[in-house]
Amino acid sequence: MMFGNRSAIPPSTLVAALLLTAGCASAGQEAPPEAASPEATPHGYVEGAQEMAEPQWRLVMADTADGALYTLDPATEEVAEVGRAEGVREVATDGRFAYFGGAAGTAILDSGTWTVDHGDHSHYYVAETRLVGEVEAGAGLEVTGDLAVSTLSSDGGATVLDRPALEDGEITETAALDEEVALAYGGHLLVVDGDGVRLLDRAGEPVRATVEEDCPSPQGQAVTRRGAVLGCSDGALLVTEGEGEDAVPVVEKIPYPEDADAGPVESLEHRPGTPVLAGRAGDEGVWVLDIAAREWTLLDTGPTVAVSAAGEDMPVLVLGADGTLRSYDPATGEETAATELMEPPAEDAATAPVIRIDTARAYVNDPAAGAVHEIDYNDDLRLARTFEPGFTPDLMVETGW
Amino acid sequence: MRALSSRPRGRALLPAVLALLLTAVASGCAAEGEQRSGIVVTTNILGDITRNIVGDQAEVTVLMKPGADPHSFGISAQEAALLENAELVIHNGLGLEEGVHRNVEAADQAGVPTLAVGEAVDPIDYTEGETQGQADPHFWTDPVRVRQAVDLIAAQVSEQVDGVDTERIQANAEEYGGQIDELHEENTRAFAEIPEERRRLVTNHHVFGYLAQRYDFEVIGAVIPSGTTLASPSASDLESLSSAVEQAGVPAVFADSSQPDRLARVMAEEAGLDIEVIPLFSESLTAEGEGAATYVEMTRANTDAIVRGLTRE
Repeated sequence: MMFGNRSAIPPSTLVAALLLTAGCASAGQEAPPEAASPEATPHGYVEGAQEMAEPQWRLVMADTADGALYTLDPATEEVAEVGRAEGVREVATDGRFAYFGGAAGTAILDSGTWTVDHGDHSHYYVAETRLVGEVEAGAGLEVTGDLAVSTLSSDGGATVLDRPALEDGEITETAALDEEVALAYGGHLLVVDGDGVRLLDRAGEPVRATVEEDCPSPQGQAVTRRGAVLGCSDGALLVTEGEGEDAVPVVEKIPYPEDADAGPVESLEHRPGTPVLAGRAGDEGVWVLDIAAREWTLLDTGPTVAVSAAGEDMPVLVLGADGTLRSYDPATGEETAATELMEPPAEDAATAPVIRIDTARAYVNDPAAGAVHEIDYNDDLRLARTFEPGFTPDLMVETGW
Repeated sequence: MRALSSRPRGRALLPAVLALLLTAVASGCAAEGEQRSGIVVTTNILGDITRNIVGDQAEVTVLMKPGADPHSFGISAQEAALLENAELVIHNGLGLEEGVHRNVEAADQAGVPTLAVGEAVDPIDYTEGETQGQADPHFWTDPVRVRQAVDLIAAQVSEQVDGVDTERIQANAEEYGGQIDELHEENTRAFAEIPEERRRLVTNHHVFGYLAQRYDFEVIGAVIPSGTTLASPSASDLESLSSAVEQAGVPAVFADSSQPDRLARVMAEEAGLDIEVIPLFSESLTAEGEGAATYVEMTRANTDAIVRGLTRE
């Protein structure tokens, strides 16, 4: 409700109320500054949103030929055209908002479905799906976010957007950074400046911590329950929350094994929130990073198109260049299941299939066949359903988390 | 100053807040008690109970909206100010209202009398899961404890709120308390229709521990298969619920599902189990006309649903 109502409170009233609170601070306590800040009500009650009994997953897709944007609700199989982004060529998400990058800018779609995590339980919401607007960003979009900000990293620089404003349908930049890479974690921003790494507060101001580690050629980022990760040419940079009051995050490097026989990871893919990350290691293998173990493992998979990881003690899913989906146990490197899913994707195609994993199912888009495949990854990669939504699903993310 | 909280929230509040601010500045906050006004209640369940007791004797502001989640609802700056300047704050406590916990604590430290109702009605502990051993805040599923809460609230209102007619408060509390006694008797009679071997609540709710203890039910937790798995489920998708139903031997489960009929159909087709999937009201009252606008209506609706489900042929 805080977020939903924020802009409706007359500023003068807010100030008066704050003064009032402060005016009685002499009664023996410090004025609680959180009374009017987002941190006081960090949860998801929003006017106009409906709380649901379970996660409301949506596949958010784009047909690059005409820029049409679509959602597909896998529970009801309903498909809706929800907007248009001319020249769209890539998509990223923070769990609620989908960011469609194209030549003309990046269009932000509020998919209207998200989860608020309370640790031992979660709350699930739906609201209207709507296009919020456009921001300038370059190519190679990576997005992270929390309840206060969303970060967009691209080769055109990094942008920090006010999340409550986005929820209200407004695009408000809280910081525009020269750095290409910014990642939101634990109330801070981690930015990569050249090779160097710096910690900023959410407004883009430096905080007192200096970071010893560097991150050459940053590529791929992910936020997990065990910390946030940036891919670098010499390993992964792991950011974890510091201990104690007002602690600043701790940054450490997880280097690749010294005898690594593969290039650096191309991206860091995972089921949202889970601390096992996977990405292509050049054309022939897959890197798996287990954050709990602080360890990289190289899977010998043969040529790959797409990859993602389902979580701790769960399989890594790999779509081979042969169109077959395989699962691997990252602890042993063994292949545990395989399903022939599609024709071998054309190497020169403008868009390639991706794997998106949620708590129950994985989804693989198949642009050549105009289809999306639903996989039960807990049941030997059983093909549960194939959707034929009536357009070409060139780009796909899953929201609702 | 009681006019402050009787005004509609929003712009109309501004002059009142300013006036109050000026008063506060003028008095230097020394005589803080004189500016306090009204009763602020966190959850809508406690709000309904409190309004029944207070009647027209004082202004009661309820922070949690109908249909909201008690764990996550937050409050505006104006509401925070109301809370810190109340004559009495009534909250559930036991960790329920995470979103306003700090505001309640701040009010308490500022000298506002606060009543944590859940803590005062002999709370029980969760017996399983990650929260095992912690106090269960959902006391309202036991009307007997709510009856105790009525007396506690009445006593605090009479003691802390200036200008109320304490005899009226007492009379209101007896009148409403009588309704709660009757509700408990109704529950006892209704649940007696359920055979001993069917007194099992298979549910994904975590709020019925008090009801179970009071009326001799066993709560069996289950994971409800998600909507996306129902079109093409595997055995593992249904395993938790199937085994809970088989263990309990009951014809109904009490769960929120976005597609209850489809879930029941899938359970019949895939697991050979004939069950009805019945939603219950758990942690919030609803808006008027949506089935649980008052505590009494909510409790009756749940009792009816449980009896209907568990006596199903």
